[in-house]
Amino acid sequence: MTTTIGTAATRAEDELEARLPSVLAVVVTHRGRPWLGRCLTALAVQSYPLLDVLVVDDASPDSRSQPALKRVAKRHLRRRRWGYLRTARPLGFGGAINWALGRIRTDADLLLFVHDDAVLERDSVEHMVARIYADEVTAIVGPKVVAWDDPGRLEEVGMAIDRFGYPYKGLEEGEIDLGQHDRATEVFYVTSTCMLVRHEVFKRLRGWDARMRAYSEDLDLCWRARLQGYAVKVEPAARVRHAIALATGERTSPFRPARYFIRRNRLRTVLKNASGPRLVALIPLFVLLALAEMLGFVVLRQPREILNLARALLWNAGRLPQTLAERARVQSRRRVSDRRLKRLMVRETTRLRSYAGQQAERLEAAWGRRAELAERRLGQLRSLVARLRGLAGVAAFGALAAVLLGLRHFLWAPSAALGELLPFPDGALSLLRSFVSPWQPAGLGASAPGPPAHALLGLVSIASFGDAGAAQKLTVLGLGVLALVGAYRLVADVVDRPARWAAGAVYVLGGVGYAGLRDGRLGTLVFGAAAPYALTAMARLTGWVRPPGWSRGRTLAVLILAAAVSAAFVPGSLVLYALCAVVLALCRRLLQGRARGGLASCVVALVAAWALLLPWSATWTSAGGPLARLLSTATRPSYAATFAGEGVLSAVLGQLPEAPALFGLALPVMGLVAVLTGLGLRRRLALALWAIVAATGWYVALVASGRLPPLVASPSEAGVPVALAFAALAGLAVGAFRVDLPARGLGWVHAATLGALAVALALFTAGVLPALGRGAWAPGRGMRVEPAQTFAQIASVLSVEAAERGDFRVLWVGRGWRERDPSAARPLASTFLSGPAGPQITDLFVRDGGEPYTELGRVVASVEEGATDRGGRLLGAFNVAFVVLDRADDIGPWLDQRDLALVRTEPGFFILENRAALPRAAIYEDLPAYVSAVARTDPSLTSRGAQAPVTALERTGIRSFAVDDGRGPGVLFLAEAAAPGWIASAGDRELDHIEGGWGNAYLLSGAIKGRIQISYPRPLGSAVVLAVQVLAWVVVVGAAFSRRRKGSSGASQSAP
Amino acid sequence: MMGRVRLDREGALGLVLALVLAGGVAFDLTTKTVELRRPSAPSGERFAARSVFCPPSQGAVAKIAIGGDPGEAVPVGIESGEQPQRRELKADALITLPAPSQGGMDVVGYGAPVFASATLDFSTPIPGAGAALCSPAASQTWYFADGRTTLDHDDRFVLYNPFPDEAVVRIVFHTSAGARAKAGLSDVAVPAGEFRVIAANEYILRHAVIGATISAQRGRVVAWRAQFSNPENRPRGDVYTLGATAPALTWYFPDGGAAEGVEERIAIANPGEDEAVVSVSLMAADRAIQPPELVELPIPAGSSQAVELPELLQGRDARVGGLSAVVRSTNGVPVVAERSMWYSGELSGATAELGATRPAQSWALGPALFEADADLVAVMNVGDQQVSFSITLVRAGGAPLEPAELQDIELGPGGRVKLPIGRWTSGRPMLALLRASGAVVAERFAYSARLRDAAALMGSPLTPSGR
Repeated sequence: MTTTIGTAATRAEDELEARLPSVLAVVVTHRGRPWLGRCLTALAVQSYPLLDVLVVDDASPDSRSQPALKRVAKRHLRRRRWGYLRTARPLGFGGAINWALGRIRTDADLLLFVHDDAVLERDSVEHMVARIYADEVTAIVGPKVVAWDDPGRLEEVGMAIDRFGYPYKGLEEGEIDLGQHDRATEVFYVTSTCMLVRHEVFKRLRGWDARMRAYSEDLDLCWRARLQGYAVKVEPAARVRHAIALATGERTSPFRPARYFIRRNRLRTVLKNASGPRLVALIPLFVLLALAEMLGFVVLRQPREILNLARALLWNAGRLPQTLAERARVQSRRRVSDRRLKRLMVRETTRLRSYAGQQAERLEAAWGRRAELAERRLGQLRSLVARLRGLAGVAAFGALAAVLLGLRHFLWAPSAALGELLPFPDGALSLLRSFVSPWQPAGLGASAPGPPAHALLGLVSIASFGDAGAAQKLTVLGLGVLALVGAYRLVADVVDRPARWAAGAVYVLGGVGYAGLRDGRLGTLVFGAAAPYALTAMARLTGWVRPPGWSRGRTLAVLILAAAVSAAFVPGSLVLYALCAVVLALCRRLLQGRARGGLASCVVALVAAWALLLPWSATWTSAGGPLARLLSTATRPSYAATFAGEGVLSAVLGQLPEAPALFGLALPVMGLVAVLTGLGLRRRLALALWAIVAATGWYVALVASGRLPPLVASPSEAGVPVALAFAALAGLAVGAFRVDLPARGLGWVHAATLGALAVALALFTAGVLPALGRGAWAPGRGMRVEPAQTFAQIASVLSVEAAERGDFRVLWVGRGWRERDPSAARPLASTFLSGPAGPQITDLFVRDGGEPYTELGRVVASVEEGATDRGGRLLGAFNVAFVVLDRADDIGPWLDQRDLALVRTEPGFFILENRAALPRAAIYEDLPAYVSAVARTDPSLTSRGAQAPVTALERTGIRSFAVDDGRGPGVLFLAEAAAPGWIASAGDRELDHIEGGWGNAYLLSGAIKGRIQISYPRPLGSAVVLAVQVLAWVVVVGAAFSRRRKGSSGASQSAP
Repeated sequence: MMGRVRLDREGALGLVLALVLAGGVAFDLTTKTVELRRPSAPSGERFAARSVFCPPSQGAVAKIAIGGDPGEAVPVGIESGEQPQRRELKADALITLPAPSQGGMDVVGYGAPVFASATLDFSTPIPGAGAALCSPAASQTWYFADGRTTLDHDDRFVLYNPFPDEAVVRIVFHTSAGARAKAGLSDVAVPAGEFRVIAANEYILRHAVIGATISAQRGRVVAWRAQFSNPENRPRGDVYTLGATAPALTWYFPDGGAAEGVEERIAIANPGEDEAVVSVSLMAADRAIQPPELVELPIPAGSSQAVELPELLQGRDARVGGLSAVVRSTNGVPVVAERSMWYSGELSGATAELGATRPAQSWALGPALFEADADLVAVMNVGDQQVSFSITLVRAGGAPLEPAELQDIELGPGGRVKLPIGRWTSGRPMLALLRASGAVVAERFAYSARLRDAAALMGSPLTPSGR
């Protein structure tokens, strides 16, 4: 509906019109009826004669109620020419104005944009018009804005910004207007509360940025005007009262949440208007600032703010092409440099002080809540201490003693080096550096995204202050505590506290920890620690258990987080989770006829977990990826063979994963008690848990028979759902005994339950106590050699060499080093590579696919098949300086190698030194013969003596090498897998890449002297992806740990 | 009503679960699981480059004969001293070259294995000739069964360390009374890439039978044994023998004899810690001879015992002529066996050789002497089937010889034959390649009238895939 401006006018007015510029006031209203009348009245009574009014209703939902807005306008604007327009849907302040001005014809010289909750004093327009025509350059004028209900209190006298686009008022909170700001000053921008704009300039600026919808569009308009050389001023003689109805919550906006739109539009504004050099400097700072803000919000437990920030960043990322096009248009008309605008901007510190002052109250409130929470926790702790003084105290002490006893061979031993449980690297940040590096130096090196497992373990490394030994123990103990708490919480909604502790204890003492630790399966331990949380979330999503106040969003976030953490170590765990979700949903549907939507939520969450691990998760099935290893036709039978003897039977007997035998037998007994004694939800849940046992057992059986592919590397990983289900069944059994049994009439159930529980307790005790006595929870218990001691011995030898020779690779030969394997996180071969410190946790998920590994494999095969006794020289091309042999293996051919010196002979191992090893990076007169020998499969090239490098480059970073006094001509050879990303340079000159076999070679032509370096620079895209990845994790963690909403409408269920 | 329905559903689900679990257990018990397979080695061409280690000349006139795969040319690296040389071993050809006066020689076959043997003409301390195989491998342990440290014998161990790290070895002697360790031989250093000669007589005296175990405490070595003898009751002669890297349960000796002017003895060393019981079976050309004393011969732990055949063979057995011998451990304790021969009739001199531990269908037999007046190949059939074999003579220049007389020779089960090949070799060094239809063991014998000494060289079994 459109109304055209009327044309009635008197002759006197025509004369006046000839001298004064005409003004069209545009009032945009949305849910603004409480204030609109006074706003329009104020416009109607303005002293300025040539003022027409256009009311734009931005699709207010209450417009059809009485009286209609049009009637309100008509009633208050009788004295003026006026019009009324209504948008079909909310377009936002700027969008509605753009739309309205496109629908009418107006020859107004000036446009006055007014909020519907702003009331102008009678002469305000007159003063503003006078100010705008006081000079030629002023294009936008704003009034002094005061509070609605207290006109003596200042709200705004023009705005400044800092370089990030954060606004700055320059006013104290509640500052009284004593005329202290009554100067007609130039400001960076004025808000859209009331803004007078030259119509011609407005058209030149192409109006408002309609995509912004709400918030910050005024900053954008003024900034664009400023870039074209116009001035923005405040006229203090013009006063406007502003109700700030949105900010005070007196009305709602269709554009919510406000903070999302504010952040979003501010970033878009900066992207459009900041100069190129400034923008380049701002982007990384902006990302850092966003991350810092997120961390702050995590501390304050404000996940929604994190979400807002993330959404804002993603919105801008998605519309970057359009924003850049806008930017090009804006910048093409720029006449003023950013330097000239700097005088109107404030430093971040100024703004921060102001922000901190304004937010003090909010922070105080937040910290007050924290203090209250801390006080509550302290109270709980006091209460716990009080309770622990009695029998519970004895039990807690006993549990602690049992833990120390069972883990004594692990806790008081050097770092384990078995399977996936490898020593941490020295330095708190080593793992994080490995994660963020675009070049993964493990093995022969590969250009690949860092495994998220490195980042997660890196946090442990930081927590242990870089102490490698402590980090490993902290990891294992932490995972144990997480598993205990997780299993406790899994049954927390259906059983009482003793039963929850029973579930926790059975889970921690069960097969996951036992087999995982003994076999060095870090993946099993992590999967086992995360699984209870995932299963709890799935049980809630599928409707099994929904405690009061549960939140679907938070539960989804928990599931995403738990599944992502599991999959970071065991990618196939996502499939097992999906299997559990299907079983839970199916059982729920069978028993109660519901829960289809829950399954979809679970699947979405699992997909989101996969996405959270991107880009690493996208490489699972590529060459050298963890799933590629499991599914490859060459290695699949080896993995499947580890499942031999496992299946439904071992699952039912509690031996999946392997647990102390008698302990395992106690589990099905408890499971039967849970089903037969439990009532209501407890019984139904027990049946569902038995279904998980059966489904997982069948999966393992089918893998063992070769009918299904092994999506996880070992039965201990596949058995995590079984162990968890049995732990929950144990909790349900105790719960049924304590809650349901007394409700039953005395009969055979009592006798059977008591008898079964007595048997289970006896089996449990008989299984666990001897194991605790033996200290069975230790990596490599029962193995031929003590891996921790042996590795520590070897590492000490190699560390001495590393101090002298610098970086080199070590080849480990023999099955002894990989006993109780295989693992999907490490190559399935009888040999593997490590750095000078031996195998470390950074070697997990090494990518061993591709031509370089094929070449190395052929060299190793040539040695092991006895084809050559020049293995040292061939391995030398790969920078392999030491070979460690397991004496129990068939290592005769290795001892025949003429160029490998036997430097250490121990009962368990030999160490061979390869004196023909090339440095990792060095300059040679010509490409080393050994490299050519490998490249051309011409062993006769190894007949030459070791080619000494002219100059060796030193490692300067995880992906950079350099030497200050390098000389040419020659060839620079870098013993890292060939990748086009490596860039070598001499001074400022980039070196030409030449054929370098499996590695990277560069030609140093001519007499070069000076600094020569080679590095693998990070692609810009990789940095962006990394930032998004971190952002996504922060968002999910924030959502998962957000507080429960009080009084939530979530349905609750409890056991009868 | 609802509670009833729910109970029924629970019961039904429980029943289904029980059936599923029972079915799973049955599946487990009746289904074969995937068998463990080690990941296969990567396909593609291998880096073939193997060395054989030849002994030093030690003042003798030493010559090396190098052969390779029939029908295939092999690039060969000759590494002695600082500058390695490249030679091309043509198909079906032989390379002969003098050994360097200082140090030894490593022969590297690139792309295919090569084998080599050395002949040594000594002028000091006692003139004579010897032949020894070049070793295809270095080892941490070496064994010898026979030797003498009496005044008329000079017994030496030649140790070569071809590796870049120093080796330290310990030598333990096996006498007829048991093991004897000497303090001076408990840690003998052999520098990297160098030879070391240990004179046994300086450490242990007046033992008529003395075996030895050389074990590397650190590193790996190659060990030969040189014996220079000039006894009053036997002809003078020199022998040169490559040691054995491991004791074995069976040892084969194709050559040997019991005749006028021919003395043979077999020494058996037991380097283990348990007593070994061995049997020694002798085979003449037409029959088997089994002296009762040799059916169950105890060899105490750590000792070396000699079997003097002339003392055991009586009657016509004492003049039976050529004899082959098989030494078997009957109680599973591995031993080392070495045969020594003295010729004091038409021929003169001495030979000694460790036996072969396994039969094969193909054998390479290097020249036992470079200028031989008599050149023979002894072959024994250790199987229970008749075999036929052929001998090809590969020479340094020209096409290989395949004399009709040396083709398709039949040999019955347990039989032996000693074929003269001198009329074709004519005193020139030639490699004899023997191919048989069944498992045989072959050895080469040569005699030089100029040197008045004989030499024997056990054949090198050829791998089926290689040759």
